[in-house]
Amino acid sequence: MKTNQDTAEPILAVENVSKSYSGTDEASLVLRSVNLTVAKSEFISIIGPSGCGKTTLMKICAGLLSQTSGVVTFAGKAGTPPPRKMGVVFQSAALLPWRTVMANILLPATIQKANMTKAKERARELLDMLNLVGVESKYPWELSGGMQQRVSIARSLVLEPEVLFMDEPFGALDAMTREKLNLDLQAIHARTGATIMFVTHNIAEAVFLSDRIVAMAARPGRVADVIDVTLDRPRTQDSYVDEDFREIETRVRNSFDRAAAS
Amino acid sequence: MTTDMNSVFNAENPIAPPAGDRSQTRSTRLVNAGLSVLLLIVALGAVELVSRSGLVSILLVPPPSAIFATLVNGIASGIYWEPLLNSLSAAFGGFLIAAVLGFAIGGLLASLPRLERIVFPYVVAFQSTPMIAIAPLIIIWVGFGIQSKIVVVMVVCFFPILVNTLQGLRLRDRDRQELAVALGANRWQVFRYIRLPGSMPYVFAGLHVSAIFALIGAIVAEFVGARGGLGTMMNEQRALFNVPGVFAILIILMVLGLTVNLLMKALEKRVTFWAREKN
Ligand SMILES: Nc1ncnc2c1ncn2[C@@H]1O[C@H](COP(=O)(O)OP(=O)(O)OP(=O)(O)O)[C@@H](O)[C@H]1O
Ligand SMILES: [Mg+2]
Repeated sequence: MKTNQDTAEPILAVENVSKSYSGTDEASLVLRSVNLTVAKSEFISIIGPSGCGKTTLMKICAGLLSQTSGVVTFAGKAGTPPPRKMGVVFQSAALLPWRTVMANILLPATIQKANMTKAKERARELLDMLNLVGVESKYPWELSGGMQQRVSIARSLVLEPEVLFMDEPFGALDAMTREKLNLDLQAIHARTGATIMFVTHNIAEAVFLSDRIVAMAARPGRVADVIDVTLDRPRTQDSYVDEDFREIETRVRNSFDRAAAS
Repeated sequence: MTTDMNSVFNAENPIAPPAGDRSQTRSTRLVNAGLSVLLLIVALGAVELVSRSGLVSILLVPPPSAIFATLVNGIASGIYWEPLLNSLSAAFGGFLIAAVLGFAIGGLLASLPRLERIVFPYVVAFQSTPMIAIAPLIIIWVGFGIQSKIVVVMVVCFFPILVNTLQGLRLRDRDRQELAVALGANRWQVFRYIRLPGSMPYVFAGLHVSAIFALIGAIVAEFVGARGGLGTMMNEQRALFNVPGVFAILIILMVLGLTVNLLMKALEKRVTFWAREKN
């Protein structure tokens, strides 16, 4: 189950990417010379303090923002994943208020002109898995923030993407739901073999889910450390109290402290 | 002064939150409605008294009871039907054409930003002009028939619909734009699934304003010469110094305006229910 960086074929590569939203001087850089490769089927988490550029980096990888300099390659070619193969969960749920929950989840299938019968079947499975049964004909504004976030997760999964970008998808959820969804996400990852780039603030969550954790530092946003998570899969609720788990958690925490000190 | 402040801002003496509309109970609402009706009765009664007292000429300020009698008689004899239909069909026809044109041209300009920038100053100029003032000219150009009324209504209604459609379609919500890119939507799909539905609250606000303008447009066109309709009838009554007759038509126009307002509100609520809930 473990991925090995040296042998696995990289599906996504970020080379020397810098980004500034305005200006060209050093001070306006939001990301500075970020290098990163993601292997096929790898689960990679990006973790770092608020405002360090996690969302910016993820959006550049997904082709939603353009970098100021540097190259992003997908499957060996310059560029980002085609929408057909990609799912994105935005930090804000970004649901369309005039569409019902079901219609929101089916939007990718509608736009990609995918098989609707199959998509509906898949949507029902996802509603079930994400504990959303019974709300499919409601409107997003009738739901709680956590429910909206789960609807946007279902939307990102409805076409079974090969690459999944998730920006703090469980941020608005309580600890219990969060742990359950972590287990579900692990199962989805194992079953579909999707490559997942996962942004989070939560160290335990990152350790639980990831093959590798990218710790970022702020001002300018940069990669401070990359930590391999060598725990066996599948991981369970017991993993959180595992000694190895604790050790990796500590390593991630230390990498922040070092970055903050430097 | 100090003691006043203390007693007001004292923790033991919290200021009760002002009772908003939401906190109104059913009975308060009923009482308020009753008071509204009472206000109307008092006002009408006062006019009735003043009118009958001889303080002012009964010819200039007719008693409400006389106006009401004129209205009821007129309705019974059916004299209002034909002019009413005439004005209404002009208003409705002009409104419909303006809605189609305003929406279509709004959509076109929104999708051609360059063209939009070129013509926008003129759109603003026209929108800031009281277009109703062009009514006499239109009657000179188009004649005294119903066509001229339709054109006046169209001209009056067109700009609010155009400007609102443009404004609605021009909205750029970054989250939604990024969603569209992530989903691989083409230009048409972005329009069809994101921008068009998103613009509906603006479009319907424009339609709502224009529906009222349509009524005004038709009546003003009749005032300045177009034949037929309630405006013409009002002119005739005025020429005969039949003040109760003028008032009776005013009441019909008021009821008409209220009806249009209610209809548009209901339609707006149906189509843009999601915007109301969200904000
Ligand atoms: N559209 C934008 N225009 C200008 N500056 C921006 C824009 N988006 C983000 N930034 C800036 O870029 C920096 C990184 O933002 P980003 O959203 O990537 O941070 P983040 O790590 O995702 O933070 P959080 O954990 O709070 O979501 C911030 O300083 C922010 O102010
Ligand atoms: Mg972010």
